[in-house]
Amino acid sequence: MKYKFYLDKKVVEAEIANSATFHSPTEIKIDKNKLEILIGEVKDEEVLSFFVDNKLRQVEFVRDENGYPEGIYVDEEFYSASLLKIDRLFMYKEKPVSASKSGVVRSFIPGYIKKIYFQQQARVEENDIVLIHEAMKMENEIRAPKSGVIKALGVREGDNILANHLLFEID
Amino acid sequence: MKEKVLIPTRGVIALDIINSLNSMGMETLLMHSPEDSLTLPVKLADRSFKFYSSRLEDSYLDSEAILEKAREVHADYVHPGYGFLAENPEFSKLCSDNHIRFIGPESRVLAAVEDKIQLRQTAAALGLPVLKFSELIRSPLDFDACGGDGNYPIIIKPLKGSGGRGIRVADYRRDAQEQVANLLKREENVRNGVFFEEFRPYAHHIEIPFFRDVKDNILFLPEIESSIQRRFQKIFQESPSPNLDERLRARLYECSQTLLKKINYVGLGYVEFIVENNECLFSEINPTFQINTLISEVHLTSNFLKKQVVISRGELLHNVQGVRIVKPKHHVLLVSLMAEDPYRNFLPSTGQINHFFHYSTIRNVFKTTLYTGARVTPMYDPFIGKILTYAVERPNAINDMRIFLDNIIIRGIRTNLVFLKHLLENKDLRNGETIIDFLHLKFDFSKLKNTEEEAIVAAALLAADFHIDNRKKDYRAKLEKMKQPGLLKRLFSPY
Repeated sequence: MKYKFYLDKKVVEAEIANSATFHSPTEIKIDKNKLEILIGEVKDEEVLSFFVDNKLRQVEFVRDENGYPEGIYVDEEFYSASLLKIDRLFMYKEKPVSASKSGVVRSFIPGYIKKIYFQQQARVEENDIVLIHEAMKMENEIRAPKSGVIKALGVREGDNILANHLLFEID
Repeated sequence: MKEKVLIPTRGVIALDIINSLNSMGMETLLMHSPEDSLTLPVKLADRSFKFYSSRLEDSYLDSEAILEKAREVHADYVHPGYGFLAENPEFSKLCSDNHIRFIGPESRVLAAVEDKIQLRQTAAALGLPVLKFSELIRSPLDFDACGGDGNYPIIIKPLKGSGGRGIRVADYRRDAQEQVANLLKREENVRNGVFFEEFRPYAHHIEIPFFRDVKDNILFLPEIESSIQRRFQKIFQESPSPNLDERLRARLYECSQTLLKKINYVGLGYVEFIVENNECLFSEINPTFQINTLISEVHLTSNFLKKQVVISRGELLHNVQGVRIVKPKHHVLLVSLMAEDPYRNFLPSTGQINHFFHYSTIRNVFKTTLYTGARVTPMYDPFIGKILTYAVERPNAINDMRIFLDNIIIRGIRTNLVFLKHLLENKDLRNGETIIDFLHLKFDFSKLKNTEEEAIVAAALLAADFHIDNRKKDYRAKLEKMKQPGLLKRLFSPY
């Protein structure tokens, strides 16, 4: 079976025997290099390490919400893998790029709301600092993505919030 | 009866304090936030008390609550660790007013050190070379009057800031004006003011650790170079510095001695200098125990926490008369382990540690509060541990450190381990060219991966993963088919 995917923006072709299980040393072809892979440690159906040419590598796979691979950590080093083809079957998926800027701003990591500079219904200009979100001693200035009126404010000063929590919405 | 020490702090420093003071025969009473209830210091302290909230102002920064507890348990000492209240002159004064010994410099000294402009003026008046600085700015309109049209880049700091908070670098005037205006939106900055100083990207940041007692005896330790910083947090420190000659080193000790005598500093501290082209400029004094105190402990082979307690009792330094300068026997390296994802612009990473393991030699010290099952919370800074290595020669120390980093496994959160490994392999670092703006000028963040061979390995593993995944899907599909209601009927139907 032939695989084709992008790894750090380079096209890589892989060839694997249809019967491959990797429970015993299995030879695969990457571009023109031959490598031998064997599963090392398995935990809860998730493979945590592989032997590649008899060298043990710690692995972690990162997937997007649809289960497609986004990348891989090999010995803690990260490689991004964006899309792939399998034989003639296209499993091709591109991330949608939003054309207009959305006014909804969410927290990207858990943290603490240190300071809010605007009230609800206040008018803000693009790039104004709306609030300060502190996580692990790092102060993040959350700026307005566009000009407009603050339609909703999802937090109060002093709130502890989780990741992906609504901070504010600009209309 | 045992003497009692109240310890309102957390993390590695709390562990160090508890262990050292326990071995001195003191009773250790820890104060911790609810968020820290399951951490190691709570397990090791003789007794521990919980703050009612995890908010900083209601926990480790709440001097009223800490003092109330100290009076209630009849504590003899308070050890504030570092950060939090350790550099706060009011807190030191509150303690001494209540007849509790504050382990650290007295309030008078802390106040003198806290006002960075005043301190530099004092130093300049003594004839010491100082880093150029501006007057105090309390309003964005003051900026030009304070010399905002001078040379760039500049570095803007809150007057009484510590721990790298609120420090900004500005490359040109418009940028600087905006940064100053942003900083002055905070109440505490308007109250205390901000100032700026010249930023020298190619200079070295050198600290001189010292102990000084009431009789003007000074114990100087080998200098520590901590030029390489990220977001003004020191990440790679070494001692002795590869960038000092004997003449310059003697000059640094001489300057420090003059200044310390003038402000009559008693206790442990660090005099910070910016060194460039045979020129040493005084910058500031750091009055607390620090992460890098471990380096000095290796040079002197003695426990500094115990020494700090002895000095704060007003006793004299052991075996020091006049000035004693310790000569380094080893080259010592220290790196900071942070819970940050180097592939996502060093975003803090939080969560539970699934797996933690390390294996060290006699020349490695790994101080951390992590254990399998520990939680890293977003409440506190991302510093989770420090790693020290020493050897006689600098290249050997770097090699040993690099190898030791491979012997650390942390799963569950993202750490800067990969970044540290690449940093230690950097050619300029190995040549000793450690400069203040190292990470911008000498380090390529896009090369945090990708030796040719590694890319192939990644490809192979991805291929293996897809394949296994497909097989799993096939298997699941087969199972689903088996569950179809028509299937059994078809198999066992007589027709």
